[in-house]
Amino acid sequence: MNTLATRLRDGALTHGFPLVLLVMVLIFGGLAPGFLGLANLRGMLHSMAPIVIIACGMAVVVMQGKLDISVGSIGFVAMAVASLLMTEQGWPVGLACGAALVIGMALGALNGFVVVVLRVNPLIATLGTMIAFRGLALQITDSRVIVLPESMRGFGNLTLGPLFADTVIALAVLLAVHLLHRNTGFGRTMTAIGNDEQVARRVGLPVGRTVFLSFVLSGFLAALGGVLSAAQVGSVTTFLGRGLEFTAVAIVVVGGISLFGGRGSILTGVALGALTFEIIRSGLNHVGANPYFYQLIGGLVIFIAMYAAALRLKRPTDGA
Amino acid sequence: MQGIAKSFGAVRAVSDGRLVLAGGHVTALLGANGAGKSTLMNILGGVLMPDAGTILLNGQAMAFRAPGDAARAGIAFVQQELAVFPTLTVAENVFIGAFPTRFGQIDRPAMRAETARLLARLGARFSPDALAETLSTGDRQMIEIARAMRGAPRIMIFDEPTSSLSAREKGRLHEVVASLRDEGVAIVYITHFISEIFGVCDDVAIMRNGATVVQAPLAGLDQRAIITAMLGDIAAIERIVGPAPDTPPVLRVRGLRLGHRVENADFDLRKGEILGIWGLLGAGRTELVRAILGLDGRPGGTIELDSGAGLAPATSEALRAATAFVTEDRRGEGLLLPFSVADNIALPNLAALSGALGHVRRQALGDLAKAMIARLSIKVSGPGQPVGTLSGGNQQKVVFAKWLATKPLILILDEPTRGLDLSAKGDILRFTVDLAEAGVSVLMISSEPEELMRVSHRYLVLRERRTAGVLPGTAGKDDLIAALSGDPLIGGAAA
Repeated sequence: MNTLATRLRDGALTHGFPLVLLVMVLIFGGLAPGFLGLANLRGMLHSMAPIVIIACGMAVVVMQGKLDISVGSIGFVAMAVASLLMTEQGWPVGLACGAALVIGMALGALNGFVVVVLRVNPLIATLGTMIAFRGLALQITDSRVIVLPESMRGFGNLTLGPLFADTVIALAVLLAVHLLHRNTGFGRTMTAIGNDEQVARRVGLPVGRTVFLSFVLSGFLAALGGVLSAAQVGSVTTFLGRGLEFTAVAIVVVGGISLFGGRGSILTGVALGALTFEIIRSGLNHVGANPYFYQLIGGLVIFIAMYAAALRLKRPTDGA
Repeated sequence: MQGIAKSFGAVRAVSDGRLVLAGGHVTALLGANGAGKSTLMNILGGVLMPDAGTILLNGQAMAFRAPGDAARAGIAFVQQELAVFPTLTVAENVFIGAFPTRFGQIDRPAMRAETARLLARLGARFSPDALAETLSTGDRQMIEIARAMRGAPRIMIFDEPTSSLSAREKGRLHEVVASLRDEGVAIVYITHFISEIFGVCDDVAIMRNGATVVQAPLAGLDQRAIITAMLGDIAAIERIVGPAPDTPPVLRVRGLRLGHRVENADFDLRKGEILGIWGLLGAGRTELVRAILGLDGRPGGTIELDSGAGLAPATSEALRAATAFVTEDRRGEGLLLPFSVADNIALPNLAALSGALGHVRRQALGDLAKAMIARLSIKVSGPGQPVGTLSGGNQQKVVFAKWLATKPLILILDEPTRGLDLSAKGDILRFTVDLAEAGVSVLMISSEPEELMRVSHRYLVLRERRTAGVLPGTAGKDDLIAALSGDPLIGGAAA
């Protein structure tokens, strides 16, 4: 059975993803000389920092077989309030950003309450809060563009050594969430719930508490992503966070974290997934493609990743 | 445990549960389906709270409010259903919910070492770092046992631990139980395989109808005495069927086997007869009827069906088309509880009730429902009443009505009266007889010997997943008990 063809196929299935990434990098590099430079790598790591953080929160929720599609709206609300505190109430930037994070946790707690206590399906619950939170933020800002103070905008371009500050924060969050998932009772309970929630209950694990806390964490990271995203742009617009929830789900899924829960690694999954979409975005940008093309390619990547995952799951039962 | 009682609503699951356990002893807990074993063990394990009775542990009265209480008192429960998480490692599965930590992180070296120690005691040879999903069922059970052993329990409950194990894995499990006993643990061993307990257990406790009827050393008992205690005195019954019809077979099964579910089955089912399947729980009764219908995969052997033109080999699809299958699981079997009685009856008959345009003829549907309600004397306010609001007995009658209208060749009943009150039971049995008289052939499974004896024309004896022969309907209770004990069958020519 170990013919070259099957070995190639198996190899492609197991290591297919980095291979596809490599091919994409080479193609874009060949088409646009600027793409392969260190400066572009730095830029990519900079611009993907907010979504990496948001995707970490998403991964925590998805690991339990749940979804939180309100993360983009949470980022918007948190930053809308923070920006008004900065510009109209004269709060110091740091304090206002702290308030944004607290708001993120509070909204995440609301999601957790609806899912755990009211037992609403997470997709429906967060679909509802996604719409409601966005409405709330539009109400608060009166749909205006709020320009952030200079110190906050400066943070968006702050560098620490060779890396942007937000890249460092994103890497720290990624590592911390990975360790939380891998090496704590909370993280292992998350995976257990993703395996089978009923069995987790029977074994006596704190299912409700864990799910609730994961939504709080997701809300916190959504707010942090919102803060960094707004700092990059320099203002809070009505577009803040829009569509980010779906990019975050796409990153998690492409990174090999199962939507059914229990399967996948947060560190490699979120890193690879986020890199994939960033490479496509930046690459198409460099070759001067129509920006709408990005969505088409992005959709295609999701489909290919899901198909490959389905093939991988099917393999053992083929009895080959 | 003394005088334990527990009711669920009006149903008394346990009325007088007693159990005495001693360190270094393995006690087999036996009883027919519904005898109260699981309820009693769930009380001991802290899953349920008793209505009455006391639990003394080393002379001290205990009140367990949650599984955690029992666990802290040194009682560990290895449940029948595996509670193993496939994508966690073996060590993580063993320590889930109680990880050793260092600096806020799981102390993996300590966890791994302790797991390796537990696995070594169990004689398991897989790594603590293996993912549970890569292991066999038997190895996953070892994970569960290791988890139960983690807190060094004084009492361990094994609930049907061998029901999904291969012969080799069973042997290993028995060794593990013996070594735990030698370390002084008190063990409760629940099983349906009576032959299994002789090699493993020291004492036996037998429950019947919610009460412990025997607790004694195993040495003084033989298989027949145990079965007699389990089944109890079979009350004098009034048979409601006539003599067995001498008709040609509609179903002929030869050499049927399916993995370890069914090892060998040979029998004929005659037209218009009720063939009671007589065997203990675990003998493979449900597995046999499911294998006939091909519900768990394609079985080996031959199945012939006479659908009008003589016996001919039949596919699983053809068998399913000719058969109505009624089980105790009314919901799983397709009663749509929010739907009306009429709609539920109509569901398998929609083709016959549909007009030329594919629309359902409401008039015909209503007529069918009213006819069935009258025929089965279903107690409803009208055909439009939702099934979910009916009593269990009336729900089961709706199931019957559903299948009656399809006019099946064969009717398979698997515990059709479980949980029903006496009058509903009587009704169900009477319809079964009526149906047989109308020419339907019935295969019937019941854990209540009286019930089976009332309606069976003949008994198909099933022992340890093999058919052992057929007894005539006139067989008495002694013959029936003897048939289960492995004695040669009297007057039962094979098939």
